[in-house]
Amino acid sequence: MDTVWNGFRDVFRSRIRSVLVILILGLTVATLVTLIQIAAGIGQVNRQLQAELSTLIEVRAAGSTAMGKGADPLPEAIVEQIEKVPHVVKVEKFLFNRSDNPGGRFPVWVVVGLEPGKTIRVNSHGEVGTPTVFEGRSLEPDDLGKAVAMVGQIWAAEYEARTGRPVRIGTRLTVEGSEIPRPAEVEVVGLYRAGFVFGDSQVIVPFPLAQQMTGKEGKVTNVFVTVDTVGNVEAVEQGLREALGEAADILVGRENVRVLSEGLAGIQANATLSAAVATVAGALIVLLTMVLVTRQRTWEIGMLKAMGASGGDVARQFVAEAVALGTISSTLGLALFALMGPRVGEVFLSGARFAVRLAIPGFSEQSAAELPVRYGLSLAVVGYAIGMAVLFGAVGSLYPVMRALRLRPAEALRHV
Amino acid sequence: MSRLAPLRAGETLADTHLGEAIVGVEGAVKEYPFGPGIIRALDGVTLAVPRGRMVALLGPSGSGKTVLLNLISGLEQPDRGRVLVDGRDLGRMTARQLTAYRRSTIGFVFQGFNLIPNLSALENIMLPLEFVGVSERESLRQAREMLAAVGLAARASHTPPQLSGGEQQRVAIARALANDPPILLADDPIGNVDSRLGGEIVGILRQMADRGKTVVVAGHHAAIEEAADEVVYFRDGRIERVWNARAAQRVSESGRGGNRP
Repeated sequence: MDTVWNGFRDVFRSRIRSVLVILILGLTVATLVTLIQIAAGIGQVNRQLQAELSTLIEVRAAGSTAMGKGADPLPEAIVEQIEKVPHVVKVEKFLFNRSDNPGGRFPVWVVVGLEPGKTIRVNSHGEVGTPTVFEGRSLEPDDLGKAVAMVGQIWAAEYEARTGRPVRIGTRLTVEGSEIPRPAEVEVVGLYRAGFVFGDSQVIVPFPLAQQMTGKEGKVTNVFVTVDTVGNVEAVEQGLREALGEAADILVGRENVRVLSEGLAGIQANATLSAAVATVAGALIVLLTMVLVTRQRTWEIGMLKAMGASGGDVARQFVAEAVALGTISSTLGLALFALMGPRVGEVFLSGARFAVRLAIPGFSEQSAAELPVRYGLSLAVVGYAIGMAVLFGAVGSLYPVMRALRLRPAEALRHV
Repeated sequence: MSRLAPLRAGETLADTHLGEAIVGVEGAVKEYPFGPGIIRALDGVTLAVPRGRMVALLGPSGSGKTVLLNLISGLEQPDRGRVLVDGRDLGRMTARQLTAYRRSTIGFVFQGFNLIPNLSALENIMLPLEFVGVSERESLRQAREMLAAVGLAARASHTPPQLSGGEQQRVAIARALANDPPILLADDPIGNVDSRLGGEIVGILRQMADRGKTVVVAGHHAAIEEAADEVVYFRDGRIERVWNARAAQRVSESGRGGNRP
């Protein structure tokens, strides 16, 4: 038994108060760690977007929309021209075919043709998403010559598509104005969610099958070009304009990246700010608790000093108590984070969602759910919690240490 | 000439030479601010306490007894005058030296028991031993001995709320004696216990004096006066009278009166 151990034991001298403080602090730590993880997840997404989209250029038929409407498709041969432009490292061809669906749950649906094994990309009016498969699998290189499809969740719900079952694309959608001249029966290999309604209303099939179904053999509607570095984007843009002339629109993703990046940075800043507020709140809780404790024990401080305790002896005891309070709370916070982190994260993200939607059209619940926020206990999370315990202990000890060093024992002994 | 030998009948503290006493207080004045003015709690007190004696400080509340104990323990310094303990002037000590002095020279028993409520009786006694750096094993051994000495060996693991008032005060005495200090100061140690328990506690203090400790006890009760070798009566911050209680008692018992006021 020593003064430090006494300090640890002192945490429970007032049990009701300590339990309340530990609960509040535990919730604070859990919220704090969740927010830090959300901020880290958003930061990761933002960096990925910056890296991927900043070097991405989209080529479309001049005057066409993102979903292939409004102009005749481009000849597939332009892919070879594009590949010859210096600094181009990847070329991915797509065939987007939008069909009207007036009687359906969603008024349009889209057949996307792409090269299996390359980027699975769904497209909309300026929105680009990477779908996440939640049932079955993604398209693979071996699927190139097969009649298979990945189906968006809205489309799947509308037409009761399930993994492993065949579905006939075109005839089952016996709607007037269908632009699928050659319906085909395909096997559904996977269901995906894209994060926005247009993206979730699409059917993704291998590129040749899409050309065949839509009667657009030898055509592409969109080509996504990846440049080696951000610094070469302008040169490639210029090279593409020279190579393709007036036939194609060259769309550089800078603006999309800016809007997306600013939106995500906004959520990240909110999460970081909230985490900072939670940290300050936690530290204040410990500080105020310790202020109360030391004021209540003024007489005791005087008595300890009268018995020969130095200011350091008394200070050590209160530091130990504050650190113990922080440590117990942080441990509880970690447990609460493991149990409730996803829910707290969901609440935070749903709160941020409305604001973000204004900045990023199509940012939806699914998008929030797909953020790579790690809710499990990791070394980093435990590190945060230990850091919080130390911080709370240090802040909470400030007042008791100053008071212990300054308090004159005779005055303290008069304090009843 | 030495005045450190036991006082003879009729001899009082006033006869003890300041430089020869274990505790010497010379012309001590202590004032405290009170509203716009000041209160003089001690007004030129001079007192010499010989080694191995039990001295009672009696007087009404606010007469300066507790202030004098605080000066002797080094918890406060006089505004004027000086306090000498074993020849050392407390006013010349640094804060660190005063802390060391309180650890090794003084044992303090407070009025309201004032044990740490979440520590057991044994752990309360171990506290001052830890302040001087005694190992845990040794402090445990010594604390057990002290607890046995005050008749509470069986209550070692009990916390203060589980002890009676008298038991708590005995633990407090054991704690004050844990470091074997030569001087034991007690501020109204029986103020919160009934007369029977008060008698027991005063008896323990008397035993300590008989074993060579210098005991200075402040209080209001007759039990303290009866057990003390010398009595110092305070009023309004001054020593009003000093008398040899033992001698007075002997004279009183023989029916010849005495020097008691």
